[in-house]
Amino acid sequence: MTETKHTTPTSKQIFAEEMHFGRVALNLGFITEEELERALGAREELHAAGVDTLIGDIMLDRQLLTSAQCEQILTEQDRLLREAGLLSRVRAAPTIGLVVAGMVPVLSHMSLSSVLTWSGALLIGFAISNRSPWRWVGIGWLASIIAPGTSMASIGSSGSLLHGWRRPLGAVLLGTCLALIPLPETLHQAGPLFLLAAVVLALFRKPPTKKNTQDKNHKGEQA
Amino acid sequence: MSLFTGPLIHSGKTNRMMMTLVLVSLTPALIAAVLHYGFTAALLVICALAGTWLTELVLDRQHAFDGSALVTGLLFALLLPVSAPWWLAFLGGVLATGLGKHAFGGLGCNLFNPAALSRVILMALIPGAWFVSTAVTMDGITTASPLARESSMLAPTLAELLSGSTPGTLGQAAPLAVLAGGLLLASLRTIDWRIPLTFLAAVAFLALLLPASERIAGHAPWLLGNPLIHIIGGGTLLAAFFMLTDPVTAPFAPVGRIIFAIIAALAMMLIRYYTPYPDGAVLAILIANACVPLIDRFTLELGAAPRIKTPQSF
Amino acid sequence: MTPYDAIFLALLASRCINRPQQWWLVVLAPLLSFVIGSLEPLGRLTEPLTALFAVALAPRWAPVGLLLVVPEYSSLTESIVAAAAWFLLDALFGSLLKRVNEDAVTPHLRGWPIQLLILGVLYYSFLPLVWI
Repeated sequence: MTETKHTTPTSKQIFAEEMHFGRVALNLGFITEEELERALGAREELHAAGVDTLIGDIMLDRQLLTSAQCEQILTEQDRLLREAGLLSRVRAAPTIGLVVAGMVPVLSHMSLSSVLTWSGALLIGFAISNRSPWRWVGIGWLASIIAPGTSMASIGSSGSLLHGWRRPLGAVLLGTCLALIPLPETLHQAGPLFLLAAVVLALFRKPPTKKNTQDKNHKGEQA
Repeated sequence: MSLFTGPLIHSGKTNRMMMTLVLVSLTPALIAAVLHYGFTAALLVICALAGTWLTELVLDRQHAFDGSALVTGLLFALLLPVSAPWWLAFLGGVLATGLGKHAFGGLGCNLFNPAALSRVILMALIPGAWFVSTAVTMDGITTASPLARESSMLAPTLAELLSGSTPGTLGQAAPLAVLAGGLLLASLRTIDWRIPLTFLAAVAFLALLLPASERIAGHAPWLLGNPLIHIIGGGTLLAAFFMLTDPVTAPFAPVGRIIFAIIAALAMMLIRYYTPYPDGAVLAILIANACVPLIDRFTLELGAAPRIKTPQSF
Repeated sequence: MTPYDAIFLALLASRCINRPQQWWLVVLAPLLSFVIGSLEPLGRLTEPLTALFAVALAPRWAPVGLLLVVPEYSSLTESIVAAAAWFLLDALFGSLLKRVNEDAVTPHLRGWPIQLLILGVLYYSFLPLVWI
């Protein structure tokens, strides 16, 4: 029995195919299969003649697309890239909020009592508050009255960055560890901590896959 | 409509050809350093080259033989003080290629000059390995440098600076050799002459123009109004001809490149005049590199014709 | 916390929250902090007032404003330099992120790790600002 060669395209290849300008234009219903074939043929001819042209330009020249449609296609490409994690303008990212909040005590050179107040304020604050910065200013004020010398801006900034219950807990653990573990003096600055955080995130990060993206889209459609 | 602007026309020079030219033009400086400092300098160069090349081999076998890793390694070695330990040279080489180049996507994708980035980060993270004395500076010079001979109040003579008899990095052993290599590159059009010319002119102009700070007037008054010392001393020449001219980390447009060189000169002179760092050339390179996307944005929007950007990195 | 560290922490925080329309008002936070701090009659009200103003500048960007008022600015010049440095570095950081070729970056470094790396490099590059 001869072993058949596995020819199923990889998820990366499928994604690359979907990302093509022409394919996106087709999916959006701006052009037909026939028009796409013609444009690709024209590009091949130009390429053979030594002229490399973008498929978008050919479609524009032949008035298959308008400038507005081109813009829309590029926006859609951008969205697909973002969803796949290739362009990562991640907003309201909870992990980074946790990292920033966790760095506050060590960079503020907080004393042990201040770290405890900061931790307590964050944990108690989350029991009674949400991400509203006004409430966090109030919580910070209360904490600084109870324990003078505690910076209420530190508590306010940390609290308003976090949400849920896992993140504040994580930030408290990270902040306490960083502040209490005797780190070398060169690590008591934001720069080295950023580099360290980058290495840790890179090591423990699960790169986004096509399957995850598809699942997410499917869930979105169902919703 | 946003379009991809990246290299659309071939300049006619391959990466390997350009890297070979850069290596050849760096050779006089390398030979001068080895002759001046002896076996220690040779060991540092070998370790730095091993660090960059082995990292390149592991991370990107395809480009391991195009010479870019060797150029990065050699430049990093020339930024080292002779007192640096061998492992620092190796580690710096690894960091330059791994973090400076491949973390950003490899050849042609880096935002900062890899050699400068590696040196600045290592200087900050393990200053103890760079300095024999307790005084922490960003220059890697342990005793009096041509630009920080503060205790003696004596200005280094021109002969001292040119012969490399003042302590400094390997690249400062023979400024004339660096200059010769740089001029060779400029004459062969491997680098854009606008960058070194503008940078050196701006350094000279600022040396005459900038008002003295208390620190510099009290400790090294001879640095004031003395453009030649600022051009020959420190890492100015190496930065001007070999590091700022890296096409990947320089702006596209000619106008942008002039602005870029002025920013680098301004940053370096401000650091020399108003901060405790005696040199600042390496930091100035990184600061200028960081400004490149903004410079490109403004100069290209103003309609300046973009130049071809060849995918290489020193 | 030093003003320099606060600037960089605020830069990172600003990247994980949507940018409001009036984001640039946050630049005023260091100046406000110094001005309110220098008003002697306020006494113990200084800190809460500073925090309230920092939030009021851009409520959606409150963490950024609050981080910028954590340090104590010793002079007006220092607060102006801090504000200018934050504004400049925000523009530089944003433009550098746009320049990153995300397709070329290894998947493990894409996104936040590469942003943190860039921020780390910027931190060391602009460190001489501390003395100016």
